[in-house]
Amino acid sequence: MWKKNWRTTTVLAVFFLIGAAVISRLFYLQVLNHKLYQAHALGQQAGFQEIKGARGNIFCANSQDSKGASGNEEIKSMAINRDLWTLSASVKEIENKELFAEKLSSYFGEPKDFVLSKLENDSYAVLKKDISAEQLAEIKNMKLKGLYWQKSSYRYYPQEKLASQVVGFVGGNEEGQYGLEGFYEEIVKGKTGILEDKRGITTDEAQISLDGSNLYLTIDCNIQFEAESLLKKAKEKIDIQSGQIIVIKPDSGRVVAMANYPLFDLNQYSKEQSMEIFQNSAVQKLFEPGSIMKPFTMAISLNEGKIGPDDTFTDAGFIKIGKDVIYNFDHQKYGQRTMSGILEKSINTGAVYVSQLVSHDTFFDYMKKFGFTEKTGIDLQGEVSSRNEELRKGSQMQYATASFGQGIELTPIQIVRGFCAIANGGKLIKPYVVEKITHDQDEVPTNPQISNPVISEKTATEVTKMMVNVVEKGFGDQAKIQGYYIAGKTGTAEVAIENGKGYYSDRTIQSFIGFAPAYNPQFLILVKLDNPKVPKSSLSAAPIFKDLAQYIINYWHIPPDYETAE
Amino acid sequence: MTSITFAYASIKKLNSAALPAVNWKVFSAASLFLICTLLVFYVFWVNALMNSTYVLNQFEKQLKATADESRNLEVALAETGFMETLREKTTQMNFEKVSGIKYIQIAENSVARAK
Repeated sequence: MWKKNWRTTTVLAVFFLIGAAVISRLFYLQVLNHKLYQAHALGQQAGFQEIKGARGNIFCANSQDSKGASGNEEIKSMAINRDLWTLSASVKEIENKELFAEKLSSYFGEPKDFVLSKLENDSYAVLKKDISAEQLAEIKNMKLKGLYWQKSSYRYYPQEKLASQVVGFVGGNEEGQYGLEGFYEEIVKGKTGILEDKRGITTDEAQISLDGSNLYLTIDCNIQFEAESLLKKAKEKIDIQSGQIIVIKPDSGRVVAMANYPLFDLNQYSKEQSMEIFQNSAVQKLFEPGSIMKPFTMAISLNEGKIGPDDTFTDAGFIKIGKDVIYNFDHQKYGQRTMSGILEKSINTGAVYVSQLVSHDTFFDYMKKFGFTEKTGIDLQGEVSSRNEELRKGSQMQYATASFGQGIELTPIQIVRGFCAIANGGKLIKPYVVEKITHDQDEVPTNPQISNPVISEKTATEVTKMMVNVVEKGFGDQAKIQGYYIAGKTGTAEVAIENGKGYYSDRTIQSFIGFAPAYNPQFLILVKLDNPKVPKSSLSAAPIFKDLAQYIINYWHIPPDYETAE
Repeated sequence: MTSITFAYASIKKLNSAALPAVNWKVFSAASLFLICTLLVFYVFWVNALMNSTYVLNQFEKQLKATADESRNLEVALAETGFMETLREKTTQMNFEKVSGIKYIQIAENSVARAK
């Protein structure tokens, strides 16, 4: 049988052997050397490039509906990323240099020779930077051979100067500097990753987002803009050297506005001559607050039970501390006054008297409790604070002057924080500027941090009443708004000579701090003006407070406390 | 004799229990048919896959273009919200700043109340 079919058998055997050889080779390649050839294939089919995610954006929101308690959907961009292109030419590929230069020069309005001069070498030339998408589309339509474009992303601040010191900027090394850009650098910056660029038949798999997180601010753009406008007007009318306004919700610490003067354009930061303008004076500059400290002196003695609101004090116009003598402002003499009267007329000797009713240790303990010896912890880069070492040393004169705000150094945000405790019934808040941080679908809100009371609610109410009297009957009457109880205090402080002893005779820092409605405060405002050309804060800072407070009352639709005669 | 008979019987049984006869012609024809069918199926499958991939790639390009346009629009929208420009426009349109707001107190015994 085999001999009969030997040809068929032979052919089949040959096919069998060939098949066996193929199968064994396939087994060797695909099973035994599977990983080696998979790696080869991956190297041929995939490219790897390092990419960086986009920087997160910064937004401010409208808080009209919530009366400043939260932002709504109407947001404005404070910091975003913008794509710009750089035009370059591969000179060898240009067919007609004259025509090339003529078309581009007429588009950009530059001399033709200028463009031609860039094409003199034979390789590669950068023609123009910072081309927008619209311009690029028009240039592409020219269909110029040899013209190339590269995209780059850079930081853009659409609101230019608005809250410039609060926002900060991204410097040349692509790192955030100052303000929020600096403080939240690690959160906002994009992450670096490797992108696998596959060729051939494939689809993109889901990628992890490398983009940075977005910040939504507590700042209300409208109130911020109004505050900055008022400071700009103050420069025109009373020639202030600089100024700050802080608006805050006293129950939570939510900063609704933080205005500085002067401002700078965040898109042109490199053109500024002095780096001092980048500093946010509201958190980075110490000053002696002056008479706006007196409510704290009053609160300390009230809380310790050393005085009652109806107690009286007789002012002789001066008070002796050892060999030194302290006078009232303008050397006035006020005679017998109630405790409220001491604040109404801002009597220095009265403040010294009240402070002497408690021990130095007690006074300094309250300074610490009100947060005056430490940073507030606000989420802005570069916050400073003073340990107030001179006060710690405890001389009689030091404590006497500290009672009316001289010889003690604070930042505006520290003072605001302290007054929030008076406004909200005694609790210390932590001021904050970022309401929430978002990344893709995730959202992390900021929870207000509120401490245990530093003074009793009764003390806070008593001091509030005194501050209302300051506006109703005292030096703060320029801040009065009909129909509303405003609690406020004026302050005209001397400016200490840097690196020297004593004070400038021709410089003052004039402030007004207040909150409204006094018995259910919705907002607290500090207006601080550096060296205005008027003698006292009732003429400078108090009217600005009134204008801004009226604006906020209208904006948030805060109903009046009492009816007024038409 | 018995052993030879037994052995012969066993061999005959083995032969009868041997592998069934294979019709190699039918087997070859069937294999060839199967290979051709698989080949045709492979071609169609790869073609469908490539079509899908092409469509997906086109969508991804459109998505990227839309994302680029969206970024440009975001910048344009941000620029329209520039506060200084808004103030100038409100001034040009003769808008005035609100100087005061009157509040009406709703009486407790009111007949109707707006929601």
